[in-house]
Amino acid sequence: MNCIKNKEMIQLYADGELEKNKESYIFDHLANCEECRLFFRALNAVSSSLVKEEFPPVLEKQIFSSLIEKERKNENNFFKKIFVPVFSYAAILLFLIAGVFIYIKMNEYKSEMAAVNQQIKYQSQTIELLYNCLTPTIVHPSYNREIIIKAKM
Amino acid sequence: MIKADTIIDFTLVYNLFKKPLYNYVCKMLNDKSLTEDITQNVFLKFFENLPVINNSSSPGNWLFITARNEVFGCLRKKKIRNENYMDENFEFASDININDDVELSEIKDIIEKEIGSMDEDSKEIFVLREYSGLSYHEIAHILGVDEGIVKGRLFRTRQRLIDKISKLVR
Repeated sequence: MNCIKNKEMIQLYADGELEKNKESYIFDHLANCEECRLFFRALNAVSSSLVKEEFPPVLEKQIFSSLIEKERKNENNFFKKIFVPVFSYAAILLFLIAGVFIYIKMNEYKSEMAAVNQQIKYQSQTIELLYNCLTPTIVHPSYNREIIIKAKM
Repeated sequence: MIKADTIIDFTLVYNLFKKPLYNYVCKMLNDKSLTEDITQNVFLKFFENLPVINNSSSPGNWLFITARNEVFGCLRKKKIRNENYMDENFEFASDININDDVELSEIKDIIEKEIGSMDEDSKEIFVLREYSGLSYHEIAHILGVDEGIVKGRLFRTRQRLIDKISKLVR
């Protein structure tokens, strides 16, 4: 008898994938079918003959130590990631503030200078005016000719 | 500092999957040192991506899919390297004489050799089921195929193995 379908079900049962309500059917069938019994036995023989590898403890150690190392590097990166931008932003901000400050100061100086200029102009005008108001002076040198000196600006 | 939650999450998944994953990579590549490298890589990547993975799919599937990509990358490289002398080396498994009084260890040998000579698709499904203990559903998800395909291929692979050892089991 060729029971491919039943064998497929036996495989499902062996893998724990068979629905519960079909189990009784397959048990009945196994009890009556020599070929399927043999298949089931062979299936188990294959499974039990497989040698599974143990996970090497050295590898475990390696994995965890490289995890720690990686995390340490990440921490350093974290410092870099946080501090470099913070510093650069702070520096830019400082330059900006300094620039604005200098600009304001310059303007102040400018207006001060203008005021001073104005004052100087005014003073020089006053001096000119005063100068021009002076009466001419007559000087009598030893020769018989008088020299008139008149202030003029 | 590593957060305690992260460590706990990682260790739980790690302990659950370290052996299945290691066995999968080992059986697929047949190379211990390569297997160790890949296993380590996969777990480190897993640790890095832990927050993302926890929110999306199941961590087991993620681990196996990542490992699978690395395994197939290695296999591709190996194939290119071995192409020249592959023909001479690859027929060791097909003609084994089965005596009636072979021991269990010999069954093991036969099966291991048979697994070694399988095509990658059948071998992968068999390894994921038998060595890693994954369910059909998980295997189907990892390989991106239908569950029916997993079931069918697995059945054919096992049938082939059973045929090889049938004389010994009787």
